This record gives sequence, structure tokens and C-alpha cells, in this order.
Amino acid sequence: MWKFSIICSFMAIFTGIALNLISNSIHDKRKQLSELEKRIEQKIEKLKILETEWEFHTQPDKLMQIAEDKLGMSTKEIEQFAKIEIVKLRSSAWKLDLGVTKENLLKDIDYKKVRN
Amino acid sequence: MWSNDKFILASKEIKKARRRLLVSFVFVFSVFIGIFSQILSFPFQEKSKLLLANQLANNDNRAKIIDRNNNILAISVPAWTMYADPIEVLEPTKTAAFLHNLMPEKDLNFLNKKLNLKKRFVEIDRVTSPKRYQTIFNSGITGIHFLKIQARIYPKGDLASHILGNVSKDGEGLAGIERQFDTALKSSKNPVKLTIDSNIQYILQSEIKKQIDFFDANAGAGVVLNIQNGEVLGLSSFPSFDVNYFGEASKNEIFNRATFASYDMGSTFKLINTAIALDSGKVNLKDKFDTTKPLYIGRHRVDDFRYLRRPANVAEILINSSNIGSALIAKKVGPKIQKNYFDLLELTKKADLPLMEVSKPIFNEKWTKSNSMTASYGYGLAVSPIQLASAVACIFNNGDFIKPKLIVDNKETIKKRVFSEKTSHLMRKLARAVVTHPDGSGKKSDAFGYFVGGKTGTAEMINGSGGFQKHSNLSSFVGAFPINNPEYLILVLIENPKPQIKKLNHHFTTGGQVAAPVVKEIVKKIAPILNIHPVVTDLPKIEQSLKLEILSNKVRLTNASL
Repeated sequence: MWKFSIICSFMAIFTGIALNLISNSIHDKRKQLSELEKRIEQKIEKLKILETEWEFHTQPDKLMQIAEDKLGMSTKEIEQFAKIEIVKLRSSAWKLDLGVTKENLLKDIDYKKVRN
Repeated sequence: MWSNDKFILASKEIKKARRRLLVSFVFVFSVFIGIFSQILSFPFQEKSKLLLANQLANNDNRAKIIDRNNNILAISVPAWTMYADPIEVLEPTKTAAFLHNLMPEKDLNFLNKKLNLKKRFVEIDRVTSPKRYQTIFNSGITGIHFLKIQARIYPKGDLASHILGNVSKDGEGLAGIERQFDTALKSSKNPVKLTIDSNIQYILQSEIKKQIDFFDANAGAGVVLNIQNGEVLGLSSFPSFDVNYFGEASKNEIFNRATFASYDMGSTFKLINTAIALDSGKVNLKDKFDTTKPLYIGRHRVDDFRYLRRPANVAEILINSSNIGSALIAKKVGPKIQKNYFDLLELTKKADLPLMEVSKPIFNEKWTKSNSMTASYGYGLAVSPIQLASAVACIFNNGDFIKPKLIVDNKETIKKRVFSEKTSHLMRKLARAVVTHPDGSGKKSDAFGYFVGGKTGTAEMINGSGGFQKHSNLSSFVGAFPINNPEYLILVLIENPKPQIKKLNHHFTTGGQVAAPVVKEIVKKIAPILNIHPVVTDLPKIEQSLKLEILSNKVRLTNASL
């Protein structure tokens, strides 16, 4: 009987140690998890602030002003559109003798590609 | 040798010891089982706690409101409420000076007063920026504390402010989409997606504001509508306000004229009157009406800006914007048919929009002949701009009425047939003639290459006592482009523009002079965004296809048109 008692005691001790180790690791994992959650929350908050700032800086009036001032982009006017026939080709293009003619250019234009 | 008695005693002791051992063993194991089960339950406890925490966080985080291109129009961000505990403030004067230096918008006396109150909680700044929070935190001053909150921010300022509405300090939706979608915004992380396009909304707002400033006008409104599916791309009301400073806005600024105001629209209604007349079959395009003299409806005299030289046909009546002619057409159609069409166009009931700020049309419930005659040129049925836009969209859109849409959803567009395709086709030609014919009043809306077609309106505004003000106009233009295959509709209204004789060398404040040029500018600016390119090569061909044989450019019925 005493043998059985000793075995049980050892089993109890080992189980206790094992459970204690598991408990500690769970505790550590819990701590890590809460830290990670805190960091995620902070990042989400930061992201929200950045998103807000981005939206503030990309207000349509600001973008249009920048496009006009820095890039010279203004409203598309009808005068900016013309038939390709009236666009003058550079003389160098003709000198290369690669068969560049207005007819060939008009024929070879892949309008689908141009649109994309 | 053990005696028998001793043996019995020993066996009893052994039994007792065994029982004790068994009890201790059971006790030890139950303790371990207890500990073990507790350890096992840890992760589940944590999970349930996390779920609860997430739910609470969700309640704090109101979902975003975004435009059709996912630009954020409203967002909740973490912020701090700055408050003071005056008992803890050691030097109130110095602290007030420090805070004033940091927040110049806060009055020094106001801060001094607050810091000397005998309370434990005094709010200093409802929403404090992270930078200010950090500065105060680092300064080490006593008695100033912070509470973490979620602040509702509208990064685009006054853009679409009337649609967005606002929230209270406690995060309750008070107006606009914020109110209508309060529960959805609170309970879901999914943003509410508007049909509005921020860029188009900005162009609409800025162009209307520009003209209001130029003509020293009181107010204005505008709508940009996709007539194929009813999506509202722009909806503006002026004066406007920055939603971030809602508390500082006046009632006049908060008032949403595009949906909440009811106007007697004036001549823009002639488009509807003509469409009804042609579609009902009561009138043909060639039918002529006597527009050379005033018309009397009981004691009420109907006049034109200029009498036409001879009886005019339906097309001439529309392009010359004749009140007399329109009233005569309505007389021939009759009030019953007209009212039926108005009902189909949903002009006699509230617009079906997800907003609280939607007006009820104003009209006489007993729709009489005189009501129908005055309504033909836009008086006696006061509707909101969005209602007019939807009704006119139906005329141009092959005759299908589509309810205006403010929220992007996957629901199928419900179309209700009101006019025939033939009527719609004819009306497009007439609308184009208003813009291109020498007698037409909408010439200034003609954005070259985009084929604008529409109708001007100049109505007298109602004064406080319900009468009409002679010199206070509602100048408007409603049109679609490209009118040969209409895709988008624009409506612009300017309230009470003042004559600008010095700037323009004339005193006219009509729809053709005030609202039509705004539409031209808007078309030019929004067309590239909508991927509509100006037509260059086929221009004469398309123009020819829009011509009405019945109208001759050489025969004019007035000397000038406005």
C-alpha cells in the first residue's frame, strides 16, 4: 500500500509541477496577447489618425490647386482636342526612312491600347 | 507470537490507516483536479473577456461614412477631452495663461473663470489634439487631466455637410445620414457608402458659391444626378457650414435647400408640362396657341416677358419660355391628366431619400383648372430641387422614373415607366433647342462638345406673407448632357441674385444669365471625371440629329431672349 501511496504522491508532485508550468506559460501567453492587442489597438488608432490626415490633405480644393499651380493642369477644354491629321510630325521621324507616313500612323494606331 | 486479540486490533488499525490514506488520496486528487480544471478554463475566460472588450470597443467606434470612391467623409478617431480639477490647480492664473498660449482660440478670461470654479470636473476642451495632449502632459502642470474619447471628424470640412449631418457629444446622430443610419453606424464596422463623388460635390459647391458671390445672391442649391440609375453624385446647398464646427453654424446655413426647401420652380416646369402634353396625346408638336396677348385665369393675368409675334407651336412655346402658351397647353391637357402625371413623377409626395430633412410639396389638394394652368409654368406646386431633378431625369431617360439614390447598395434599380420613348426622344431635341436656337434662353449653358440640353427658369420668390416678390428671383437651369444620349443631369438654383450692371452692362438676373453659365462650367469640369470626352469629329452630325424640323433658326418670334 505504501508503494502505491508513494507512486501517487510522486504522480501528484509531477502533475503539480507540470500544471504549474502550463499555468505559467498560459499566463505569459496571456500577457503577450494583451500586449499585442494593445499594440494593434495603438496601430489602428494611429492608422485612423493618418487616414484622417490623408483625407484632410487630399481635399478636392487642395488637390485642384496643387494640380494647377505645380503641374499646370487645368480643366480639359475643347481646344485641346484635335484630329491627328493636323498634328505635325517631327522632321526626324521622316528622315529615319522607316516608312513613317500619316496614313501608316493612322492605320497602325491601336485605339484600344490608346484608351487603356 | 501475536495473540488473537492483538491480531484483531492490528487488522483494525490497518483498516483505519487504509481508510485515512484513501481519504487523503481522494482529497489530494480532488485538489489537483480542481487546479487542473481551473488552469484549463483560463483561455476560455480570457476569450469571453476579449469578446466583451471588443464589443465595447465597437460601441465606441462609430463606422465611417465614405463616398463612392471610398474617400472618407466621416470617421471616429481617438482623441482626448481636456478637463480641470480646480481644487488640484495650484496656480490658476499661471495655468490659464499657459493654456491660452497653447490654445489661442480659448479666451483667457474664460479659462481663468473655469479654473476658479468650485467643482471637481470642469471641461476645458471637448476634443484635444494629440499634440496638445502631449505638450500638457510633458509640462507637468497640476490639475489638468484627460479623458480618452472617440471624436467624430469630418476631414473634408464643408463638403456634403448637409447630407452628412452631425452627431451629439454623446455620439448620437442628430441630422442627415448620421441620424438616419445611427443604429447601423453604431452597430456595424462596415462603412455607409454614399453615391456622392467628392470631386463632383466640390465642383458643384464651388461653382454655385462663385456665382452667388458674383451676383451677391442670398442662397443656392444644386444637384448632379446619374439619370440611368438615379444615383446622386452631388447635392449642394448654400450657405454651407463646416460639420466639424456644427455648433457655430446658423439655422440658415444648416438648412438643406436641395431636399428640405419647397420652391415654385418657374419655367423649368415647362419641360414637364410639354412632356405631359405630348405624351398624353392631347397636344401635337405642331399645334399652335395664341401667345400674342395676355391670358386671364379668372382675375389672374398671365403675361410673358415678351409677347410672341404670332401664334406659336409647342416647340416655339418651350424655347421662348412662354407662360401664356404653357398655360394654354395645360388647359388643353386638363387638370386630371396633369395631376396623374405629377403623381407618377412623385412631385406630389415627399422625396424618398434616406434623410430626415425632406420637404413635403406644397399644392392645392383640390387640383383645379387654374391650378393646372399656373403649374404649367411653375407656380402652385412647390417642390424641392431633388424632386425637380428626378422628374426631369425621367423625361430624358426614355421616360423611366427612378427614385434618387444616396446610398450605394446592390439593389436593382427600380424603373417606373411614365413617358414613352418617343416623347423622351422629342423632349431631348426640344431641350437642345432651348440651348442652341437663337430664341432659346439657355445658350450660356452650352459647353462646347458636350451637347447640353435643358431649360432655364426665373421664378418670383415668395415673401414672408405668402405673396410673390417682384424683384426677388429664383434663377435656375436644369439640363442633361450629352443630350443625344443623356447620362447626367445638373440642376442649379440661385436665390435672389442682384443685378450687376457695372460688371455685365445689363441688369438681368434670369436663369439664362445666372444659372446657365454655372451649368456650363460644371459640365466642363465634371465631364473628364465622369469619363465623358467632348465630341470633336462627329459634332455637326450629332447636332443635325438633334434638330427639329418644325423650328427654323431664321424665324424668330422675339427680338432677344434671356
